[in-house]
Amino acid sequence: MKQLHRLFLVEEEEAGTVFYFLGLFLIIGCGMALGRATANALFLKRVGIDYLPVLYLVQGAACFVTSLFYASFADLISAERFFKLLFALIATTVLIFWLLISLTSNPLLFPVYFLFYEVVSEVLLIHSALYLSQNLNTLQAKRLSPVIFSGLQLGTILGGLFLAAYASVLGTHNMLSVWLLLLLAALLMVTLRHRRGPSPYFRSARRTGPKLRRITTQIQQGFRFARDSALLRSATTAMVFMVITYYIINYSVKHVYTDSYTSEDDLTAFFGILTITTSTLALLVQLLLTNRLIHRFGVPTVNLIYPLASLGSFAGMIFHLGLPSAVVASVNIESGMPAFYNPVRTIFLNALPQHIQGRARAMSLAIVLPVSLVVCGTLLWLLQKLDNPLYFLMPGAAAAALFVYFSIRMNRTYGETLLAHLKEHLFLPEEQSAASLRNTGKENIASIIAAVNRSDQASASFARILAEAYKDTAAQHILPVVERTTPGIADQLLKIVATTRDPAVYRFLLERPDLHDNHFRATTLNILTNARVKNAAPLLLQALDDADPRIHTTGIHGVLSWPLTEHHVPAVANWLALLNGSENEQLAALELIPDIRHIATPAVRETVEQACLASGIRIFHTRSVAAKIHILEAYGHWQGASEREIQELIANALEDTDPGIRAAAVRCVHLLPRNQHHDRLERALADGHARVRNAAMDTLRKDLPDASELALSWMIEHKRGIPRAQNTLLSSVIQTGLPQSALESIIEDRIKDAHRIHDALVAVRGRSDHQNTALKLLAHVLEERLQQILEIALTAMEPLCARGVIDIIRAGISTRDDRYIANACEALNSIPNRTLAQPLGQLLQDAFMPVRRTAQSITEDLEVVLRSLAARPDAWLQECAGNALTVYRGANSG
Amino acid sequence: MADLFERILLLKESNAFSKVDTDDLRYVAQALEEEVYFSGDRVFDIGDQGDHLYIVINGKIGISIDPNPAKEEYVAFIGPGEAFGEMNLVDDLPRSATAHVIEDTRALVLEKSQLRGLLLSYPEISIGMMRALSLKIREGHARYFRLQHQRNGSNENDE
Repeated sequence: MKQLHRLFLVEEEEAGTVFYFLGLFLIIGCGMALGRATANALFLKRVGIDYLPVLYLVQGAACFVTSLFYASFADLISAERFFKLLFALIATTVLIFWLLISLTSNPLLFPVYFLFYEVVSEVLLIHSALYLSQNLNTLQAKRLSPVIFSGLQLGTILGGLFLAAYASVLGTHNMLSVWLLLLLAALLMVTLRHRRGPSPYFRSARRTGPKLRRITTQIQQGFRFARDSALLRSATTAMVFMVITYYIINYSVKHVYTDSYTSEDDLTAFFGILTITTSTLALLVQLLLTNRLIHRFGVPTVNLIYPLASLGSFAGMIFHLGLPSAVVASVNIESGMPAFYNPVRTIFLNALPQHIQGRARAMSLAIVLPVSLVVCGTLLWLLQKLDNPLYFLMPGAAAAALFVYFSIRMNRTYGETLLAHLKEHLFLPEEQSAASLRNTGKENIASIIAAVNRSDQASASFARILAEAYKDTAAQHILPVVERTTPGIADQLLKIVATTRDPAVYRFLLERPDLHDNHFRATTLNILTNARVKNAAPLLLQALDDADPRIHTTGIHGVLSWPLTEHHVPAVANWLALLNGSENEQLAALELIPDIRHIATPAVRETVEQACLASGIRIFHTRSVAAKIHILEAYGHWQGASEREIQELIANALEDTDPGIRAAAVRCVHLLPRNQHHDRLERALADGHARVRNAAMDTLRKDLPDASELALSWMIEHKRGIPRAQNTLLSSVIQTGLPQSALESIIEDRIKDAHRIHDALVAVRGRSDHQNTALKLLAHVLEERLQQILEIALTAMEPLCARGVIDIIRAGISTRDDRYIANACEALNSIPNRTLAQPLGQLLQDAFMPVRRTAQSITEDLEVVLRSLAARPDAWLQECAGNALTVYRGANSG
Repeated sequence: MADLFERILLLKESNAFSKVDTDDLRYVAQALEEEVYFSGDRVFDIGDQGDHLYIVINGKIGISIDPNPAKEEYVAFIGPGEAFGEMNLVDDLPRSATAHVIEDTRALVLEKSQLRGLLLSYPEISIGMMRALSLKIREGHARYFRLQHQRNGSNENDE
């Protein structure tokens, strides 16, 4: 089994499924080989090649009608049920043809049979791919489609061998009876397989309304989707030119073969040998090469092999149209297409939403074949009369060149489609930004203004949007509401509109200094003070005598900070008086700590500093959480030396259960001894509350002018902090900008680290038994660490990709649904910078897709693994690994 | 007495906390109290107001849904490592079943108000709990769809 995995990339759990599909496709392929050879031989010998172009035209119309019928039902019923109906229908028709050809030899039968085969073969191929997509996710499809489709090749080879050996013995028309038996065998296989349940990824489209309406709706939706989907559009266009290329090559080579072989049976036998050769080649390539090429170079690169080879075939035939160049061209279309084009196309179409896959594939048939066959048929019918084959080879070469061009276009839309599909299915919203609001219509702006005017709790949210998007005019809408609404809402709105720095705001406030309550007045004064509105000076001086502590302290702040030097002395005196006043007065006075730096006289400054410290310590031990936060926030601005008492207070606050206190304490870390700074910040960066983590990050930035250097040093050199801390650090420094090389270093380093953790996890999982608590817990911790490390790699990847791409991939992976994880990993493989994206995508698969786990083998000694984990600079992992090591040693010595 | 590592592992392997990081489960583990119940007792009755989550360390609990709490007709059994009463940590509805002590049982108990305090202090715990809940809902949907398809498949065959 391991060898199977190594050779064909098949996982142990997938073996049953792969063998089933291989067997089914083998039978289908064998039948199709018999059908194709007999249809070609009977038509070419009994009717003649001159009628082939006309038949192409009719074939186009037949394909169009058939595809509409197919699209009506393909997404409504499961693929296996549709297959059963299809096999039954084809078998019945083949039986009728066999009997008619055997008994009558009516010349009309042969073109009809030829047409029947061409249409049926397209439907069987399309439906096989749909059936596969309902049983495999994207990543499985990438690995297994080439192997599974090789079943078709194997079947074709066997069919070819059978034809070569028995065509002349049984007669061409009796091959239809063999095809009939194969169809019945396929029907039996599908029935037996789905005794226990339907395909796992089948999602039926909604069935509403009468049957006929449902059918037309399905078709309409299919056409609409084909029009709107960039991937399907480019895939369909590429396919048009592929089909034109194919049929022109097909016509050209058949011309050569018909001229080279005189009898019907000889021609059938030759087709048999050609089929064997091309199918064997296709089989070997599909089994051993295609999925490796896809794995190594990616789906888009492999997508270009067949188009380029087709262009090459035309070059050969234009140079000399004879048996050798015809055989080479046959090899291209009969081997290249199944080996490269078919599996890659299946993978591309897997990127489309599941519920519309059947219709999407059918629309290809409905649009592509009729268009290309009409073009082909018309071209060949007009040109076949001319002597020189260049007249149809040149248009063929032009079609091949366009095939190459549209394949390149298809490649570009693949990654985008995967992401769009994920985004749609995971309900990820479009980003709202103030800039985008500017492009919305006047009705939207009017609605926002109306919402602000409602002057209720929601007004503040709308006012914020207005202030962000329309800085210049927001004040004219918000200020009238400020005037007439309740004090609480007015206060919120005022703070919002003040961010616009519109002079109209200051004018408004100066004209209404006594609007609303004291709280509002304090906010007003604060805004005017911070904006240094000169005309507010009298208000500041008035505030020095105000009874409200907040207004009073705002006045002191304004006098000290502007400065109004002649009023410094009374301001400082007032400040000291507040610091010895009531608890509220002290709390308000502590907010002035940043203004200590404005006190010129050292002695006075020291007095104020001591008073602030004493006041803070005194009231910190009240029960009020808000007061504690207030004091700590004030201390966060402290620039002077700190005493032991303050340091103890801060150290205790850092461990408080209240996240607000912890966050405020983090901003005071600079007051602790220097050697404690980084440790404390590291713990805070890993805190279970985002507010604390953000406070830690803000503090780090203040300490260090270049936090990105610290980030790199922590993450790569010293591997400091648990992954959560590293992720917080990284997310923050990315916003200020990290060079691409630094991000790539981080990603590479995280991938290496993730590999180490993953290997450790495999070793631990392999040894855990149900009694060993320590190892089981360690396994959980390692799983978490692996996911967190991969999360860091994804965060580092964000600036290297288009906006929002990593968010979509992250969302897909977090669903824990195999289909979305597969699409997310495939989307990651499609972004630029494959050297980093590919190993990361591989690791994500290993970490998040359960089917991958069992394939990994344990290579390292457990004690070695545990010792290395216990030495990592990760306190919790150290603890768990240490505990596991103790238990392991105890168990082994006992 | 279950040590901290055992407690964390028990929490991690329960449905409610399976997606909470072990770093954060340390805080929850510290809030657990160990209690002993004897065979024949009832941990809680149907209709009771529930405030606790229970994780069985050893022993056996039988769950009955009969309106008469004394009746011992069990619809499920809870064994070592399994949790019960989880839903009451997040909702305020009365107990939907009676928990009978079949064998002497040691259990770890988490009180709702303690959990709520922890959630305010460490919101990452609630994010993990929501992930676990979301996965349970997805699994429920997937099971429902599978059953629907099986039913549709047999209906179509009948047709």
